[in-house]
Amino acid sequence: MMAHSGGLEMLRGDVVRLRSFIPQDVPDYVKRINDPGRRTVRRFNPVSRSAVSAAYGRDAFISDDFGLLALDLSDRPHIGYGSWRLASSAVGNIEICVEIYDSADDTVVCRGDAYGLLCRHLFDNRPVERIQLLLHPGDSVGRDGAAGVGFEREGILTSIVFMKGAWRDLELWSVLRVLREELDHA
Amino acid sequence: MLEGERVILRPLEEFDIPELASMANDEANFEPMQRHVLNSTSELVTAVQENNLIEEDRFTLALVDKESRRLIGSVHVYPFHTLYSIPEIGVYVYPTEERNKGYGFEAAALITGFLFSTRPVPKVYMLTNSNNTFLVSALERYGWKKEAIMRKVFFYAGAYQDYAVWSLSRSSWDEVRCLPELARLCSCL
Repeated sequence: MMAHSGGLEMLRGDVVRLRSFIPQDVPDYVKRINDPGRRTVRRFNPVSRSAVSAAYGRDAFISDDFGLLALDLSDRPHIGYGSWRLASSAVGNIEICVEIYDSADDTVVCRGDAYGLLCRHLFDNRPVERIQLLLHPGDSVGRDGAAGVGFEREGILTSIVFMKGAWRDLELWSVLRVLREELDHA
Repeated sequence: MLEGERVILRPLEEFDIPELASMANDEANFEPMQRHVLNSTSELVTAVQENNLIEEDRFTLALVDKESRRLIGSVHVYPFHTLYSIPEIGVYVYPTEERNKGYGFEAAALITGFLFSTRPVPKVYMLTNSNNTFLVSALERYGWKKEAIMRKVFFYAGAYQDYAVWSLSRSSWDEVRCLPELARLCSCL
């Protein structure tokens, strides 16, 4: 599952792969994140290229409590990203996120593959029992992709994010290590 | 300083720390539904010297019995999620003999009113052990809504425990704060 290619950490799935960012990805990432027409995954928060470049220079977007990997298809690099972070300082659980920039690329199979890769990587390398995921209520691709790799809906967090002029809801999903292991056996 | 009928919430001072650490670390004060996190006295002293444990998006206050002026607990506010600005509150009354007397209720009401008065947030959060029926019945009575169950999210008492995510919206707060018991308490806000 985990391969190292020329110093590049890589997670290979059936249809997508997740790998460390390379310098060439950074300008495209900044452009995508700042696109006003972005199909926002969780919130819209413009970033400066200099700040992102500085962060990349520090740790290539991988630290103890945060990770950001570029998401490739076999024939096209960087169609999106996968990330994990500590969801709260008070709650030591990890949250993942997958964003695929263009709707034409954003399929249940791609999203599910990426979710599965991130979960397997985190369960293999961290002593966590639960990984969570926040989805917009209308994100059927994310919902089906997540359900396919063992995520279950835990509830809906109402008015949690301010976006497009209003407080919006997000669905809380999670997968447990024990259920994920059962799924892997199956 | 927030003053209720029976409690005072105030910034922590350095002289509070030995007592706070002693109560928080006393095994006799732990119950099966209470998380047990050991606190380092020296780290607490350093943090209090630095900023009294008060920052823009998170702070800790001393919970004091108004009559005796005795420190009996602490009130914590921190972001529910690292990406979003909604605050979560935590109220701890440490001595077992002081629990279920209404101190926690007063402290929670004061800090909730304070947050809605001073921050443009649509809601506040509180997490509870799903089996804490005493707290759950109080939350339901005062307009809190259960939004989710976070499965296996905390490890204590030898197992991973489920926690319920409760929230109180600003509109619900505006309704319940008119109840006599809350109106009296929150007159200082």
